[in-house]
Parts: sequence; structure tokens; C-alpha cells
Amino acid sequence: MKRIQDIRKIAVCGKGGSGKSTVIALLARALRDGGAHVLVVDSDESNPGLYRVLGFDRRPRPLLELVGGKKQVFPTFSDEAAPGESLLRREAFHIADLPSDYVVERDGIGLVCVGKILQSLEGCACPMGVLNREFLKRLSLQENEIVVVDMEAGIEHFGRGVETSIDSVLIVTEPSYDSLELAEKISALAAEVGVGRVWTVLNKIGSEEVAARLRRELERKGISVIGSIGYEPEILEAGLEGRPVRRDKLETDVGSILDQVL
Amino acid sequence: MCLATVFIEDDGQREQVMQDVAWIKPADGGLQLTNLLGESRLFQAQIESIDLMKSMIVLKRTAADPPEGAPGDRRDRTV
Repeated sequence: MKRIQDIRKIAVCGKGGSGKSTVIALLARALRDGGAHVLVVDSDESNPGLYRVLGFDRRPRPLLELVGGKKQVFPTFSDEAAPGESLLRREAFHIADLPSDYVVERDGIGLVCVGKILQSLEGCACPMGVLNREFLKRLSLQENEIVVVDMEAGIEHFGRGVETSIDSVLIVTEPSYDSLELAEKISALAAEVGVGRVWTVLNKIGSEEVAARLRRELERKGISVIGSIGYEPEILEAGLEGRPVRRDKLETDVGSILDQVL
Repeated sequence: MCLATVFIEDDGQREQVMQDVAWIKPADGGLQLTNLLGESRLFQAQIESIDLMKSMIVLKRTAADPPEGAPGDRRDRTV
């Protein structure tokens, strides 16, 4: 098994609805149980509920407010409008440097949130993409710390260069043609920006036959499949109730996926 | 992407000077550029072109830039 220091910042990517948040929650808890201090970065500007999936009762303040918030990011022009001194302007900072209201933490798992779209006509999410990239680039990890990033669905984050700040990509693939096609595209984009490690985890798998077929397709595309999560009733129920998945009710062995990631 | 990469042209040479620029405003006969994180620089320059499809702004230098640390210049790091 590689040391945690070798894998520091993992971006979890995939098609919308493929199960990124579920995989992140399972992975974060397994990493924590393995002795790592895990920071989950919620960089999905649309989906609201990652904090619930991780078992927190509230979201932290968005990092966007550290640079003045989106209203201040695009203000009327005045000398006072530009953001002032901020942690995020430092060349490097540590998890421990984050102001307490910008991170929620429990039992070895922390969560930060880049920002959410809150209003109609408020403009695009480009500032959040840049902030995510710069946050991840400047976040300097101590020994035993690992970052898992919940990326927005799809591939726009590659256009914003977020992956230049991470070292590994984990693609969540569900049994659909689009999901397979997107996995291939993500793998190619990750290689383009120099990400060294790209894997995929299969999710919502109903049978061994489906898993085998997906594995064949993905391996033909040159993508390493490191695990498979079944179509588990517990995951469906947890999703409906907006709560963490109970791992003791899963047949899936998340530990084996983790062994391959690390 | 909406935030701009800014280049400056001087004597036929084009140089990238800032990324992720969110604001540009006239200041002291030149332009003050500020990026998303709040880093701000002053250039004695005028706008040559703005390409919003490529998120690219080209400036043309009109005089030597004010020194680092001049009022309105809040530089964090070497660009």
C-alpha cells in the first residue's frame, strides 16, 4: 500500500447523478478509519446536500465569502469594493489556518464549501471555479492529511483548470452509455493537464454481468477500474432521507477500493 | 471562463501580466487591474482589445508603470 503522503488531493468526477457524493462519503470515512485526517471540499455550486451525506447538520460558510462574496466580487467600481487581505491571498496555508466558521469538522473529517448559486440571474459560476483552483493549489497538507474534492457534474471544471491543482482523479461511473463516454473524456482531459492517477469506481451495479461489461468497456478505453458499488437499498434509502449511508448495511467492500486508491 | 487573462504589449512584445482579473478601472492616467483574490496592479497602459470568448484582454503600454507598492498597487506575488 502506498503512503497517504503520495496521494494528497483527489478530485471525484462523473456524470450528474452517478453517485459522486455517496462515493465521497464512503471514501472519506474509510480514509478516516485508516488514520488519515480528511478534508472534503464541496465544489459543486448546485447540489446543496453534501454536508448531510457526510453527517453534518449544517454547511460551513462558503469560501467565496473569504474574498468578499459574489456580490462583492462583481461590485460597482469603487476603491472599497475590492477584497482586502485574505487567507486565500497567501502563497500557502494549512487546513488548521482556515477560520473556524469556514470549516465544519467531526471525527477526523472536515468539510469546506467553495460556494453555491443562490439566486436567479446572479451570473455564472466562474469565480467559484477559480477560487476552487486557487484554494486547492495553495492548500499545503501536513503529513497524514488528504483532500477529497466533490467536483461539479460534467467537465467544465477542466476548462477552469481546477485539475492543475490536484494529483488524482476518481471517476464514478454508472451503467449508462453517457457515463462511459464521459469517463473516457475525463480520463483524456486529466491526462492532458498532467494528472498522474486516474481510476474509476463503478456505481449502481445490479449484477456481476453488468459489472463485467462495464469493466471490459472501461479497460478497453484504458481506464483502471478499482471497485464496484452495488445497487444497494441502503444507499437509496439514505438518499431519500438525506442522511449518511450506514456502512454496516452495505455489502460493498469500500476498504478494497481504498486499498487500490492508496 | 469569465475572469480574464491580461497581456500587455510593449515594443512589439506581448507579455502575460495577470490572471483571473475581475476588475479593470481607470486610475492615474492608466489602468488598475484587480484579480479575484484581491491582488491589484497599476499599469500605464490603455486597452488594445477585449476578447470575451477567449477571456483575454490585451493592453498597450503608454508609459513606464508606477513602482511596486504605489497607491492602488497591492501585489501579492510575482506573476
